[in-house]
Amino acid sequence: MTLQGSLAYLTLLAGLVVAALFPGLDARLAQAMGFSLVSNWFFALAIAGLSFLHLAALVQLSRVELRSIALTQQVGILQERLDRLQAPPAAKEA
Amino acid sequence: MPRRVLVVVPCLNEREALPALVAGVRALAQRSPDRFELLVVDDGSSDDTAATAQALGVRVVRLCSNLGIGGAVQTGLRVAAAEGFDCAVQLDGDGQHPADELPALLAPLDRPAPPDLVIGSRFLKREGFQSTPARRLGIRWLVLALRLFTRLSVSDPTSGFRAYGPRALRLFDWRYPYDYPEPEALVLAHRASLAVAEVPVTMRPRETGASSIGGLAGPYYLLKVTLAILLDVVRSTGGRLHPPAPPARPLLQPPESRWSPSSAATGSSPPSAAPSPSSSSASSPGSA
Repeated sequence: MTLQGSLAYLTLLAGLVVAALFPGLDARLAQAMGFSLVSNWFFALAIAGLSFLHLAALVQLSRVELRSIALTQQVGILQERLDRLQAPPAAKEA
Repeated sequence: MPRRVLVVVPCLNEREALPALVAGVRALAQRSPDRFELLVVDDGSSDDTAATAQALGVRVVRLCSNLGIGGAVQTGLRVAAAEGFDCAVQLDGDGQHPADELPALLAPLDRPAPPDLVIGSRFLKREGFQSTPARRLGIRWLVLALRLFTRLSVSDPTSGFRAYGPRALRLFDWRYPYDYPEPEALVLAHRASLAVAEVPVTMRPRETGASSIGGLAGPYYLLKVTLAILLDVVRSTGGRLHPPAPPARPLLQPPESRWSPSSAATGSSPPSAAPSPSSSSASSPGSA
């Protein structure tokens, strides 16, 4: 896991610990945000968090895909160069 | 002075069409003052396209997985940029683009103020293969979208019959769209302030294989390209697109500037970033 991922999970766990230590806090927060049920507040938080993680994963995937395309191109080009270098002299002069 | 022209042929399962295409380019090379070099980019074909091209004595870059037309074309343009070619031409491997039209495509690059990108348009003189009515409708939409959003006026934005000058090579070596790339590449060129010109050409129906734009892919293509154009237009509000300077020691060095232990022993300098086209031989394996 990357440092960013570790920090994200650490923050999530810290939030859960705080919620466990101060049981009234989540209810007050839910009420302040306009949620009538605390569970709905948790669901909304979870959906928002998962959406963010999904978006971040998509961005990361796109970057990896671009890098993969560039590497595929470079491997192909370098392989062609290598083939030419390793070709017997007669083939090189052809 | 003869130009060094790299003819990039992106291929996916084009074994049957390749011999005629290679013969066409070679026949043209015999009577042209330019020095043509053929490069087939095999985009993960499942037939023996690469072996056929090699048997014909053509340079072949084999991609280990299918990147799509954009990835294959960019591979060829990257070779042209790295090896210091004066220009590159994109020629479809399915036989739609006759080699006889290459001089017409390259002619604008001889002008005193040459364009950076030349498009071979099948709609300027309306001869030869004009595509299907449904596709012509889609092309009309793309023409309209490009004119509306970028003020770029081209008649055949989906044509893959193109010539690239040095500035276009540098831009597309750095960045090139991968899915259905032709119209979006025009927007990139526009954003980088490249000059785009069109010349009339005659195209032929494809000799073998099937187009990738069939069935539901057609509407998807239109939607995707339109969105990509819009996105590029939004991005262009950030200013002109500048390709970065080439790295001091690029991975894709031209062969002639390659450093070797023997050259070190004789005191030769390590490779420079600048390609040296003059030292490249016209009789290299891929020469047409």
